[in-house]
Amino acid sequence: MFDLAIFGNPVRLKREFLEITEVSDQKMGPELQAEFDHIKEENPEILMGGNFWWDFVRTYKVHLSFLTFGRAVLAILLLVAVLASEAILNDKNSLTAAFGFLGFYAVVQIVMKVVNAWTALFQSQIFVNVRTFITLRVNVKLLNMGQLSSNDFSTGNLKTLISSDVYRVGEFIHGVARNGLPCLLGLVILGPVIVYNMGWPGVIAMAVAFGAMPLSFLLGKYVHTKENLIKKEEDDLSTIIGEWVANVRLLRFLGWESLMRTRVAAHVRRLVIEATKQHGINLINFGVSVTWWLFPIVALIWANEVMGTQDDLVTLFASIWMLNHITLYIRWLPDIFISYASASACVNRINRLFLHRDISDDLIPATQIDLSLAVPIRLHVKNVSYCYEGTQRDVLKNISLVIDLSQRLSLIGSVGAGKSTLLKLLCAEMKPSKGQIEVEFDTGYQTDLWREDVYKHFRGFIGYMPQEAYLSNTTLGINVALDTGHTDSDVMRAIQMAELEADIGHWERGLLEEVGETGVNLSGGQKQRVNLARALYSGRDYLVLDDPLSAVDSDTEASLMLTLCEVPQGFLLCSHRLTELKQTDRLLVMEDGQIIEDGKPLELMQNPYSEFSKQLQAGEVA
Amino acid sequence: MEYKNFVTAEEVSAEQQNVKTLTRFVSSLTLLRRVMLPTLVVILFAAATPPYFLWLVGEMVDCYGASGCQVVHDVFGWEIVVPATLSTLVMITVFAMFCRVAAWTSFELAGQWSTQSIQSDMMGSMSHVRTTFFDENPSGRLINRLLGDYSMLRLEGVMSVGDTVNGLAEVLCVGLLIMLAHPVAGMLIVPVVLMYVLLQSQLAPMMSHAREIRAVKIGEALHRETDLIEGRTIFSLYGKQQNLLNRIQKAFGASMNIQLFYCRLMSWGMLWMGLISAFYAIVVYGFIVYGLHNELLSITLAAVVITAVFNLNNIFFGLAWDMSFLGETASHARRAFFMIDLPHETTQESAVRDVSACELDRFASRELSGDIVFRGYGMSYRDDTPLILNDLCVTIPAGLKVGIIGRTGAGKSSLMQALFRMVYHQQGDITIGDQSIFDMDVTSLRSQFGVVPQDPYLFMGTIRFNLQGDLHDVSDETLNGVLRTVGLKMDLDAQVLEGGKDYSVGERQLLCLARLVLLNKKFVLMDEPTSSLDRRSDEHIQRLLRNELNDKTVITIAHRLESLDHYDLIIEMANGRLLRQGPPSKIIPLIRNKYLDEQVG
Repeated sequence: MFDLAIFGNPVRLKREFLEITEVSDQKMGPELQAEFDHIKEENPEILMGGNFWWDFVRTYKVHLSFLTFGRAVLAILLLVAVLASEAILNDKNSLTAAFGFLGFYAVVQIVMKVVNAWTALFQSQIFVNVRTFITLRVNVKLLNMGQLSSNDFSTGNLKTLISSDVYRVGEFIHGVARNGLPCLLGLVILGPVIVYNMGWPGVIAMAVAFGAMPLSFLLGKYVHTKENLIKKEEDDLSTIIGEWVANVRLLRFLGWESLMRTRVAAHVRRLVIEATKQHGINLINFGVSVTWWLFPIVALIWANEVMGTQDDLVTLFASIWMLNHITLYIRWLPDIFISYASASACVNRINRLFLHRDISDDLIPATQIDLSLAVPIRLHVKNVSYCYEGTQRDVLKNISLVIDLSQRLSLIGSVGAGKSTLLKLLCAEMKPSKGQIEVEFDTGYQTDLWREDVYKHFRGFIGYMPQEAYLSNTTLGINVALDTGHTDSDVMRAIQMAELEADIGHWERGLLEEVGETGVNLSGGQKQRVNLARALYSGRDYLVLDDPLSAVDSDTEASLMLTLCEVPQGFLLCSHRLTELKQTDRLLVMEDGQIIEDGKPLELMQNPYSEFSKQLQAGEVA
Repeated sequence: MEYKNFVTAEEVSAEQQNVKTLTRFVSSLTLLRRVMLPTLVVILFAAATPPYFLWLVGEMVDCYGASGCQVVHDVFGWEIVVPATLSTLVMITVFAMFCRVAAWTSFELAGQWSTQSIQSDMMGSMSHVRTTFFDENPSGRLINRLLGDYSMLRLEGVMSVGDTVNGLAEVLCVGLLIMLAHPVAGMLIVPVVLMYVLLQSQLAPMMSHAREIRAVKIGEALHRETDLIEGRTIFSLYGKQQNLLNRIQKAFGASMNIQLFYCRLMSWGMLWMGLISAFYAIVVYGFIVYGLHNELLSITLAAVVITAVFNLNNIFFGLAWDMSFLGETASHARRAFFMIDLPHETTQESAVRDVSACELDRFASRELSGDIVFRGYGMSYRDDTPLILNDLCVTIPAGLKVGIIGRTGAGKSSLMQALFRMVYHQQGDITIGDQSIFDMDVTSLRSQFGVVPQDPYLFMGTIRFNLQGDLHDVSDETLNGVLRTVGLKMDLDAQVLEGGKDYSVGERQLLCLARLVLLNKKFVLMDEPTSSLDRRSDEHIQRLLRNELNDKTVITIAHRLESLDHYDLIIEMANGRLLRQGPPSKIIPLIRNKYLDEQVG
């Protein structure tokens, strides 16, 4: 907070700079470390959820007071500098006095620069703290939440929340600290002096200083609304350029390059037209507010003339210097208002996230029994229905079922039959709307899956592979292990089992290969196999696999099924491809939220009237 | 002494590079160059008017109460009388406002408008760069160059240059004003500015480097946040929340850390630059004290100079701030110019065969006909990798339907790319009816062929656009006619999503065939889709081969043997060379047997 030594020693600055570029061993600065520790000490859930602004002020009251103090000191120093200058202009006769004032002025100038630099540093600190404050809490909150049922929290919205919403709130607070606060303190500290010096004309001049605000506010709003339009134009352009870059060969085969150039140029032109309009308005806005400081001076002279008051030149100029200090900040006020509007919308979204229910809200009290050594052997699904929040239709309708966790079970059904929903319920990703799922342990004990301890124990027992392959933008190894502390040999074993070994043989860096954002560097089949490898790596005793092989070619699919049938674990597999399901122990057919067929696949195949054999035949003809 | 090493030699040479790049950047903004002179005048006016205003205020207060208070200027013998009245002040205020707005808008808007040519040059370069360049560079990076760097240049780039020019004009005007108080004091602004530049040259590279690191770190933090958002249930299922949370906090902490450091750099610069301007202000004050006591200086001028000095810090710091972005602008511009300066795709070829420009023109509009002959041809996808096609000798007779088969990696697709000159030509020659394709202009060579690509991609736009391409004046009847020929019925103005996602692969395939019929080229190249074609498209292809394409040379890269029954000639390739060729009746049974043997074996 008071780390002023940094200012005196540029070499230290350089050294720290070189340290900070070292990616591998990131040393956290003392200020930030303190902030992290501070947050770890508190229970994050308690702190947020009420009024964000109040929480913020309460948490950072010491910081904020220091900042206000620093800004006030700056305003007072300015006042002293003005008085010294006034004295120099007035004291024409005594050279000694004049030099005395000059010395005084010199001291004030130097102190001012130091305070100014320190305040700026402090202010950035607050900006960083705000973002840390919110982000760390949002992170913990997100981890505590289960499946998000509300549409407000789609993946896209959450990303916006984390990246831009948090930033906007920080930006608003930064704006207040940088411009709003100095403006206010200027008015409070310098205003009375201006009024004392100039009387009513001084008041009028100060009022006129705010004159550009309505126009600036309107223009600022316009600029703000244009932003989405420009963003859209940029997106369009990026789609077209993306098409170009991805299809160069095709374009050259067709000889369409000049055609595409015309298209791109047309889009660039449209973008530039919109951007020019926006930037033009922005510049008019800035131009007017930057030169507005001349008007209060005109007003001062006009009011003097009208009211018949007369000031000497030195007092007049002293007032101008102080007025200028205030107007310097006034021009940023419209920005603060505009950014408040968006920041408060962001705060609302963040607050709503904090009010969202956690998984722990769904849990029921723990059993009194020690389950640590008990092994789940069966799942009893009892009259389970499920209805997604905000919809009326039951996706699952009154399903009752017993699942033996040592068996290999397969599940088929058309799109929308409720397969994925059932799978999610079985691995406790979601809680049934009606009915119960109970876990039976090898001790003979049977109880509700959603009891706190049962839930934790059972979740450590299963491995789930969702339908949509999930990939983290990092190395292949971390994607399989989900952990930075994995051993390569274990990961490689899982990769071999998931038939990925041949694929990574082509990659220079093997397990260290980056998979890219959402796995762009991998094919659809490879993504699925990475997810499968993850389930296999986890060493969980029961695997729930949601359509794991839809994107792999048929040869790989066949050999993967063989591998799966060789692993010791039982599994539940949901699939669109039927031919490979013969090898499983039991097969369920779902239709419209219900289980319409249940039996051994081979028996079902032989029965010509069974749904499975019908679908199998239809598939073979097609 | 360590202070001397504060900036490394590389950083200094980077600065010198930056000056060159920035000069090129500004000179490539054509519209801005045209309006540069009036803009500079307006910029000077915008900087000079407010001090003049203050001076007039002083004069006005000085002669307060006297009627007919006026200021007389002597400009090169011309006497200009300015009445010191309120209305003059209002007029000057409005003028100052106008000049300020005009100075910024004319520079930055003209600049922004002119940047279109930079983008267009980049795209131009993209359309004649080696095709393999796109394989060597990830598409994300290319898009970032073509769009990200461009949009930085468009707005921030032009702004950083414009603001720097405006800032310099303001410093100049302040210097001139102080010179009125005392010439020596005014001249002292020169060493002060030099000290600023010195400090700036220390700070700017670090600032822009820190900004780069910050962008990287923020990117990393966002990746981890994305993990949290998208993969939260997965991480919690496998019990890895804590590891994830630690990684997020580490990444986020790193990004905030660099942000804080960046702010520190800024504060540090703010302090030292502030101290320089404070020192200068004190010196100027000294001259004022001296001037006032020797009655060399009027109080008005003294007050106006003090006003300027009060504002000095802001002007200097604003200038330094704008200048710190020049380095970034230079690096964006450097990347853009790198794209623009990429060599033409035929540069490498000319090393193999030296072709002069006049020879190219001779064949520019000639339509080729005859056999396609590969004469000991060899190519590779990179200059330093082994040959893919190696000493290939094969003749594709005119007017025949030729199927090319071979395993993956045998060089089938490379053959097609070789005909289009999209690869590194390493040996031999390819001729079409005795005309070497390397003696031709690339565009006119490529226009000789009609192509059906393996992946029938449709571009965003209308069906009409995808069908007609760069052909002009094609009537709707003709277009509908070709659509009917391939058995499609579509609205010509229907919109196609990116890639043609809203059409089935079969439909897209047929649309490509329709394009082929419309173009009516002598040579047709077809790359069969690897996945099984739907029956309808297959029938249409066979029918087209019999009717519309009857007299054309058709080269099909085949992935399935069944479709080759109607062909005149089959060419089997292996390891980039011809393995054997002959009529289907002879070749196909041979291959069938070979594959059977392999499977049994």
